[in-house]
Amino acid sequence: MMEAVLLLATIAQRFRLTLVTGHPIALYPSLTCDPRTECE
Amino acid sequence: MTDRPAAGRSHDSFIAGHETTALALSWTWYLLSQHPDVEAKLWRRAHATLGGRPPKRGGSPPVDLHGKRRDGIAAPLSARLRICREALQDCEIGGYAVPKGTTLFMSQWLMHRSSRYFPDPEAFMPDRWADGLAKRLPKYAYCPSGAALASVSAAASP
Repeated sequence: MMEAVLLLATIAQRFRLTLVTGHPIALYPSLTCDPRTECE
Repeated sequence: MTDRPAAGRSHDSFIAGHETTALALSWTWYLLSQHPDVEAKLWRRAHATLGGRPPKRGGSPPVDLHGKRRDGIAAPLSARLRICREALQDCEIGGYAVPKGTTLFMSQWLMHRSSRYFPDPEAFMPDRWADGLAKRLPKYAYCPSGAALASVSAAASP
């Protein structure tokens, strides 16, 4: 998971991500917990 | 290493090393978007420690970012169920009789949300990890990479 920290630090310096207003977020639990629909 | 474990490790790299990281980051960005105060703190720390430079593995900057990563993973997203054990003899666990040979599963979802170990467990509070919480927790209270006896490759990195 070291790569996750490096990616987070790199992206956080350049971009700010916001959720599209009203976009539904639901879990799709399988072996991992995925978003049921794509996050926008 | 023989062919079989080599193939297993390669398989881990694709499954454990790709999808889990992508999902962890997706949920982390989602949580950050819902918590502007935490996002602002991340931004300030990233700029203060990196100053626009890319981070390096093993450098000091990622240390403060661990909190973001861990809580991102600990919050809504981690693997739900990836721990199993087989009882080698009849025993009792938490008041339940467990006959020899029973396969037992532990839920990371429940453990990571236990108020016994994580005060206000549903809250996104990356700073809960800032004072060495990870080292104080019992071995399986927080195990996002699973707790297999030979743990998956992803768990080996700090």
